[in-house]
Amino acid sequence: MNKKIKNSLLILALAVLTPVCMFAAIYTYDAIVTIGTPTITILHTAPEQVPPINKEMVVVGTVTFSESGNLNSMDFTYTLQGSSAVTESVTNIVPISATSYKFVKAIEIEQTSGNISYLFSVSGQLSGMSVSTATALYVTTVTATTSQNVDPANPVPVILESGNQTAGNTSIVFVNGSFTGDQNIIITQLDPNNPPSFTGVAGKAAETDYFVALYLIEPEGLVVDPKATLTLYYGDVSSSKLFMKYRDPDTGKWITITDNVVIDTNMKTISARIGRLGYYAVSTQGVTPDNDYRPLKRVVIMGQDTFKFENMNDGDKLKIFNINGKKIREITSRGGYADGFEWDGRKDGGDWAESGTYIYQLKIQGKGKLISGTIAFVK
Amino acid sequence: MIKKITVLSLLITVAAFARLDGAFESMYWGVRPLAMGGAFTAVANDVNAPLYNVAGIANLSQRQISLTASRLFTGLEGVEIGTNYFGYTQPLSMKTAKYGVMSFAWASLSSPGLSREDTFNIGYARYLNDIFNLDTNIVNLTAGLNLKYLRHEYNFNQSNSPGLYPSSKGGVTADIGLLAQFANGISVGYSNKYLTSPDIGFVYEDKVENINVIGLAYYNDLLPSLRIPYFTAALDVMFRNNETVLRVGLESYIIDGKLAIRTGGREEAFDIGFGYEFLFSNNKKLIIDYALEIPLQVEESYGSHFFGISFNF
Repeated sequence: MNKKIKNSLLILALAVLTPVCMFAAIYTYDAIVTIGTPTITILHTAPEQVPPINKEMVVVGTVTFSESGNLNSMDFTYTLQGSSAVTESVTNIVPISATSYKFVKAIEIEQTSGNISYLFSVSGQLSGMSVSTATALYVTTVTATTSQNVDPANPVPVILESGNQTAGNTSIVFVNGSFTGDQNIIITQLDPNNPPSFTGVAGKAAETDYFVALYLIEPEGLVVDPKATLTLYYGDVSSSKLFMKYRDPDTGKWITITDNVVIDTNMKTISARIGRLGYYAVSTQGVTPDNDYRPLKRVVIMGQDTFKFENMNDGDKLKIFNINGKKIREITSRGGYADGFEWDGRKDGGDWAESGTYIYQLKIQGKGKLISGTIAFVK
Repeated sequence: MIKKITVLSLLITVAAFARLDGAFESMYWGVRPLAMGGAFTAVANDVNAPLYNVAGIANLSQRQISLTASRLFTGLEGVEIGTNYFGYTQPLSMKTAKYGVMSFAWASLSSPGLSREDTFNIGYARYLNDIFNLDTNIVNLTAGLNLKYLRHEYNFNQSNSPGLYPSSKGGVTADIGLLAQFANGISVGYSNKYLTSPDIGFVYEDKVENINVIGLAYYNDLLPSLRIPYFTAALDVMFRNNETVLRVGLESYIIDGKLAIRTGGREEAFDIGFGYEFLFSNNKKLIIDYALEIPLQVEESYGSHFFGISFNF
């Protein structure tokens, strides 16, 4: 082989090998960079809403490292409506695996509307390298209401988020055919310290002192049959005994729901099956309040109506006294009135009482003190 | 003389058997009578007399004015009842008793937001000894007449028929009273109240029930044996519809007659009370009274409290 041929083959070999080597070099370099660079991933889904009555937003998420390392710091930067941005450290971080952490962050909110925007930023030491990352901006709406058009043939749950991602939400779940026609179901969280007016005895209804959560499920009065499952978020409550109450729209009285009530202390929710929409409350007071025994109509015209003492059972005792303190009637059983005792205005002997003011006293089994009040009988 | 007594007796008898249904049955007027259990028909010797036995005012030689306020059945949550009483007596002559004495009184019982009863009362009484030629050293006989307007109202917004009926109804009626005070300290009184039984019904006939009360009292400056000073014992028997109510009372004045201690009662209540008299010149007198009525059938009450202030001048 002469020298020219050798040179030609060498040039050809270089021409072929050079791009191959360059490609190989480039490929090798890319592979090393891509596989070896440590990364940090933050997984979080923002709550769509935060009811202002809860005065708190609690968010959760996870931080995942691409390889083992140390989490140096995690910051939470948020902006409340009308305020400038605030950055706080996230301190509630719990490792859940060698490369993952769960975090919880709570902030107090005072605003009653508008938005809350926030983001997370994390820095860590991974394989000797300092790595930082930050999420995009999350936005949550501050509102106490949610609404959902519900088709009874294919009902979807209606959910009012609590704004606390470590607990449950308020929701109502219908079954097929619970009502007729599409309904716009609205859940509104209300201030438990300001419940709707009580239409009975004048003055504040004592039982509402014990409310810890209050909701209005609309349309009020809508009959739901088969019953729907209502779950109410009640937040932080020290009492271990909780009760769900329903406000009868006809009488204004709060009635304790006793059937199939489920309390989930982890989720901070109480659930029951309900047959009618309206006001629902979570109360720490489960006994029937005094006002639920008192007659709503305190003036009765002879023969046109009766005084109705609801929730009284056989064995309880109703005494009627005239204005001079003389007992004129005693009733110890329900008689013809299915919901309690009633007094038609007749004395023990059967004669009608005179027009005037009367005092009643109720002795309820298992209840310590008597319940007293005044009524007027008119001819 | 016999004819006059016969006519008077017939009048009393007819009135005594008139029994009808009605309202206005409260017995809470005047602190002193209340402290004596309401047994005042045969006592009736002060400004509280008009609503017990109007005949008693004939013996009052001074003007008297009195105010009373009360709270009934205290301690019962949900029970708010109060009474007020105003009474005034005016002799038509300050020199002679022969013209008689007039009285004006207002009594009110109310349960705020629920009901209210008012009685407006104009009375006149005079002694009858001159008419019947009775010896004053044996008996002092007086008689009186009340004209009264009764009014009661209810809050029908608390009923099933709001706005259907007027909120109040009223009626005019009268009382008569007789009082015989014997020289031996025994007194007999008779009072017939709501003589005309006015219909004050809102929907149906509702006649104010006629009430007859016969009273017996005994007074002694110093009760023999027990030596209780200025002692009064009184008994009233009230007939109302088919009901008979017995009321008894005792009173004594101690500390030179300035401090009165009283007690009394009826089937459904026990009463105690006291009064103190502040004497001024010209026989003027300021009297402070208090009475406590303890109900015997209504439970868990701290009782009914009555406060009164009177001035005699």
